[in-house]
Amino acid sequence: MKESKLEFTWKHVLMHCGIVIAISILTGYVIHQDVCATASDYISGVGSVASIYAIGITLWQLRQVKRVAQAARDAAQKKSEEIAEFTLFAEVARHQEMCSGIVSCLYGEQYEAAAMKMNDIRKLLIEIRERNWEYVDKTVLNRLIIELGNDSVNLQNRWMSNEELDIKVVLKHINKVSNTLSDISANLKNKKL
Amino acid sequence: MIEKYQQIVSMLLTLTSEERVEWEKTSGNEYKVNVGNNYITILYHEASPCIVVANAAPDIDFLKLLLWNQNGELIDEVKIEKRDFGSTDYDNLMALYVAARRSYGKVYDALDNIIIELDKTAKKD
Repeated sequence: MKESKLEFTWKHVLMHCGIVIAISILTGYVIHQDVCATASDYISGVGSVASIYAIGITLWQLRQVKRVAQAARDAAQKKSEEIAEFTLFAEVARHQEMCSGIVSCLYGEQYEAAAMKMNDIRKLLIEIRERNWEYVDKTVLNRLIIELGNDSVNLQNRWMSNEELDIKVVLKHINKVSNTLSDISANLKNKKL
Repeated sequence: MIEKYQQIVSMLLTLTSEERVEWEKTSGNEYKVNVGNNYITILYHEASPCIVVANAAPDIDFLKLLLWNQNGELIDEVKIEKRDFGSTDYDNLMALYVAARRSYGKVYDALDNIIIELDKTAKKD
């Protein structure tokens, strides 16, 4: 959006006064054509012209104020989006590291810890999905979210009641999540640059 | 089992046998199928043989039908134990589990190939 200026300097005041005086002289001259014109006619004529001009200036100023306010709102919104994206960029990087933590937990049979970490990643993926970024494939995200949700329940079942668990499948899913987060991270970085 | 679940089991059984839906294996002993925004998994728990623990509830076979939403959250489940054996619900759910396992393993394709190979071998002789 084009930046609007709200400055009203002495230069502007003098310019507008000049315009009002010029129009007043012109109005006075027009009134002067009437032979019956009295002093009050001159005063009211010039006053009317000045009032109409002042209303014009006021409306123009109001419009400028509105434009400046809108520009400020847009700038604040942009800044807030930038901050949110930067926070998310950091979150993606943190969760990407979490993937290797999950692998360690799985090999160490710490199924509950792995399930909690997977739930965290699932929530982040839901947040990313809600942003509707064009460079993120929603179908892939949906699939990963579903797989992570299912895996965390299966990990909890393994931990609580020693249910059957195919770790290879969980590792495959984690690998997919790690690659997806890496792609998202690269895209966010490119967008910032 | 509530009527809508019975209806879903029956419909899935038909669609699976017609090979119109494909089941996938999850990390647990279960198979899953996507239906719109939701997905369904079917789980079979086989009781550990000959393990008796004092004062503990006996481990028995059961089947579970689990319903998940698009956020990967488990929103409902239906559990039918083997003690209900003979009930239509258990039989239908077991039939669906077997059908899902066969769908995932592409068992019918494998059987067709085996028949073709056996036929070829028989013709050679």
